[in-house]
Order: sequence, then C-alpha cells, then structure tokens
Amino acid sequence: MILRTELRRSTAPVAGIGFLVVSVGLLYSLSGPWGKRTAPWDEQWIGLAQWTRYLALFVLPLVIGVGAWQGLRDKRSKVGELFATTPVAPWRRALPTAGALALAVTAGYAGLLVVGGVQVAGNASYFHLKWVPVAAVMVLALVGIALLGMGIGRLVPSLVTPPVLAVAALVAQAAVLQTGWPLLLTPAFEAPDITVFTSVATSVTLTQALWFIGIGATGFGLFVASRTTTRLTALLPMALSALVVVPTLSGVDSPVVADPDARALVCDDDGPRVCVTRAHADYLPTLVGPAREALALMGKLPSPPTSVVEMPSQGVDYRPPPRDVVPVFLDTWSPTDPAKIRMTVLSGADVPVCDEEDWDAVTRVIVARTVATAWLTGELAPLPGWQYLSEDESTKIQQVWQALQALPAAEQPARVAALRDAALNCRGDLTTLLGTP
Amino acid sequence: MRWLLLYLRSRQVAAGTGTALACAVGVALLTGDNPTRQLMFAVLTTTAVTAVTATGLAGVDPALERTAALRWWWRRAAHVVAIGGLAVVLGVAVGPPVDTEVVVRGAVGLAGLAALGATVLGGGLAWCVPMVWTVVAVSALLASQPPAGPLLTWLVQPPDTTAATVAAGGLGLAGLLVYAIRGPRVQ
Repeated sequence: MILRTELRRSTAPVAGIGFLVVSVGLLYSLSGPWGKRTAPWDEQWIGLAQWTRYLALFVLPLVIGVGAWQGLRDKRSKVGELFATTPVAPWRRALPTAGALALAVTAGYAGLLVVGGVQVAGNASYFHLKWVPVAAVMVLALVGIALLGMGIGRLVPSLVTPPVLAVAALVAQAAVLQTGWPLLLTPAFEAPDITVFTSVATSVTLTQALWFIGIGATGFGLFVASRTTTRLTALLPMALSALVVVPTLSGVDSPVVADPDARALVCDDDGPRVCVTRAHADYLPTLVGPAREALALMGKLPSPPTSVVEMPSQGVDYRPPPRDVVPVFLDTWSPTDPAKIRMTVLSGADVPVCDEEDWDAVTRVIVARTVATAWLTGELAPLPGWQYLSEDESTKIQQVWQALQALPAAEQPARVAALRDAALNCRGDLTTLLGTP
Repeated sequence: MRWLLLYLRSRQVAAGTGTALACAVGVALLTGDNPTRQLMFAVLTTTAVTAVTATGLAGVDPALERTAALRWWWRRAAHVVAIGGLAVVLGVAVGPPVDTEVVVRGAVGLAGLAALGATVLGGGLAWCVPMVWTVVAVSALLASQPPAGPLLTWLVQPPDTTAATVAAGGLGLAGLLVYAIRGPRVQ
C-alpha cells in the first residue's frame, strides 16, 4: 500500500522513466561505440548486455544524484522529529521508499533491455543466455548505487549533496577509464572487451555482483541509521565486500573469456567448403556463392586453396590458418554485394594489414594485393574499403600491374601464390609480388 | 549592504562556494596529462561549480520571497552572472590547463542551464539540467573526436567552433532571461 504510494508520489517514477529516456536518447542521438564492431547493442545479445552496462558511465551519476535527492526528503519536509515518534522500526519505514526507487530503476533498465532486445531478436542468428547474468549485474549496480545515494543523502542532508555526488560519480568513472582493473569496480566495460566472440568471465560477474550488493546494503544501512554506531556498522558490508572484491578483481587480466559456442564453425559442404562462425551464421548464404566463385578463380594458382573460413579476430590473437584455407573476417564490415564479397575473399587472403603503423608500408601491401587480385579476376579494380588509396596510387598500381604481366607466364601464378602465403603471416608486399623492390 | 548579507546567507552562498572550490580542487587532482581527459575534466570542473552553486538560486521559501517589494529581476540576473563568473574563475585558476575560451563557453552555457533548471525544477533539482547536458557531452567526447553535432555537444568542441559558441551563448542568455523574469519555481 505504502509502496504503491511511493511508486506514484516519490522520485521513483521520474528516476525510472528518466533513466530509460536518457539511455535511449544517448544510444540513438550519438553514433557511439555501441553501434560499431562485432557486437552492436541492437544486433547481438552479449552486446546488448555489455553496451547497456557501458552506459553506466553516463547514467550512474544521475542515478546516485536522484537517490540522494530522495534521501533528503525527510529533511526537506522537516518530518524527522514527527517520524521519530512513530512506533514503526526505521527499516520498516525505509523499505517502501527504497523499494520504490529500486523497482523504478530496475523497470527502467528492463525497458532499455526490451527496446534493444526486440531489435536483437530480429537481427541476431546466435541466441544464448550468457548475457542474462551480465545484465543482472547492472540491475544490482543500479539498485546498489541508488541506495548508496539515498544513504549518503540521509547522512549529509544538504541540498548540495546530490550535485556533489553526481559530479563525483562521473569524475570517478572518467578517472578509472583505461586504467585496467579499477574500471571493473563500475559496471562498465572498455569497448575492446565487447565482442560477439567473447562473454564475461563468471568469476568477474560473481565478484561484481558481490560488490554491488555490498554497496546496496551499506546504502540501505546508512539510510536507516540515525546514530553514529549504527552508521559505522552500516559501512561494514561495503568494506567487507571490498576486502574480497579488490584482491580478486585486481588480479583479473581481462574480464572477458572466449565464447567457444560463438566461435564454433557453421559450414556449407555442398561444394567447396565455406564456413562462418555461429555468431555470423545468418551471413553464410550470402557468402557461399561469391566465396565459391573466388575459390574457382584461385584454381589458377599452384596448390590452390580449397575452403573459405571465417576467423573470429583480426586482433592480437590472430593465428595464421593452414595454406589451403582462405580466411575472411566479419569484424568490421560484412558486404552484401556479391562482387565486393568476391573481391574481399580474393584480395590477398583478406588478411588485415597487420602492421598499420607505417602508411608507406600499408600502401605497398595494398597496391600488391590490388594487383594480385586483378591478376586473379583479370580486371583491375580498387579493393573494397581501399577506394581512396587506389585513387591516390593509381599510377603506381598501373605500373605494378604491367610489371606483373611482363613476367614470364609460368612465373606469374607462383608470384601471386607467394604473396598470398606471405599475407597469411602478416607479411608480403610489392617485393614478394614482383621479386624486385 | 545589509540586504546583500541577508541574501547571501539565505541562499547559503558561502557553503555553496566552498563546496564548489573543494570539487574543483578534487577534479584537478585527478586530471593527468592526456589532452582529451584534460578537456573532459575541465568541463567537469565547470559542471561541478555550476551544479553545486545552482542550489542557491532558490531560497527556502520562493513564494514568500516574491511578496517582497523588491526589484527581483536584476538581483536574479546578477546571481546567475555571479555563478558563471565563479565557474570561469575556478576553471581558469584551479581547473585543468585548457583554452580559456573553452572554460568561458562552458561556464556561460552551464550557468544558463542551471538557471533554467532553477526556473523549471526549483533550486534543489536545478543541478539536473547542467548535469544531463554534461553527461551527453562527455559520452559524445568518448564516442568520437571532434564530437559530432556541435549544437548538442558544444561543451566539448574545440575552441573557435562557431556553432558551439552560439549554442553556449544562446543557452546562457535564455537561462539568464527566463530566470530573471520568472524566478525560481514555486512549489
């Protein structure tokens, strides 16, 4: 009954609706990191959970501020003395107020998950439940931080408490960005830790859950306490959980672990083998046709490759595949135009330019790959994604193209094959292709 | 003089200014050398100062204050200008080493937003408006550089961005006028 009144009359509804509006507003008004890479928030389940937690960087300061404002209510209304005379235990009286705010922020986050989840359900071909505990930690964090705000608001009942807490939360989170494990004390993840091929380590999820429960317990304790001893006791849950959480999280190298189910291969063996990871299974029909055309074109090479396989990562854990496999990467983009797909599969094995430090080196690699691809297709065209470079270097490309064609006909396939082999190991450029610098 | 003293006391200006100074020093201590981070923390300094001092834009009983036979409009305007001025002074003196134009632009816009907040939400919640705008700006700064949409992300644009200056000036002026004419929200 009181809970219903609190849900209608306290800050709770504003907090819940405000959370949803600010979050959805941020997601849609800015082209932020949440729409990029392999797990956009509206395309993959793990991305939905992790990117909505990334938003904690921006919404937690508001949540703690609103919590503190709620915690100030008795002081603002000058009812402390009156309420102290009631025979109800303080925690019983605090429960509906705290419960209303907790329910409201939980509902706000659930609303955000629904907004994203409807889109993910339409987009993702890979369904799993590993994202649920990850999202559940965000609920604990939101409730815990809101309660902490209420507790501090009650402890320091001044009008400046909410803005100071809000700014402090934003500053603290901004300060721990890119510092490694301290960020794990917040719900947010760094962008590189959010991919469709990884999920959050269970140990990290459990430790973070413990941490935010500790924060919430301390917040509620501070909200209820009125004497110094009870206030000090209220600090215990947070202090005790910190004793467990800090040593555990500071030993964590990466909060994510590989998701073997997402990396498992889904193959089309109806002809030359073409495989994608399960996370991208819906792309297989698009890829099969152009990939087989590309394999057919590569038949001109000595010991030609026989299969096209998606590899999960271009990053540090790239391992060169066997020579008869053409790797493709769907990390950054996945074209739908068959001609572009064919070019991408053909173009120097689609291996990324592994050392991107030196632009001249990148240019030499791309020119070599452009010409090698042209030799396979018989037509000189810019590589997908490298149009600008191809325009800038068109004379160089023409020279190399003619130089390659001037080689003895028997040597040309060997040269192109050598470039492809080298490319698999992140090496190889014009020298490999032409034999001369 | 006596009026001014009573006004400052009724709006808890000393406590607000002291807290603002403490916040600015705290932010400055965490800044570091990274230019992006310096810009972000410069914005956060200005936000802290305006958000904290915005609580003084309304007294304990705004309805009662209105009945006083005083010309409120210039007094209110002076208060908003003073908040902006304090944000500039603390931003330049204590805050991270960024272009002064960025500090002034942020102070003008955020002081206007704080005044708008006090008019619409009251003194206690006035901080929400500059805070929400800062949150948007900071997330845009983390998303891409320079951030897109200068009219929305004027807080974190590089110096000499006309659209950002216009946005900050417009918000500052709007806040000043609206608050001077309407005064803080009456419950």
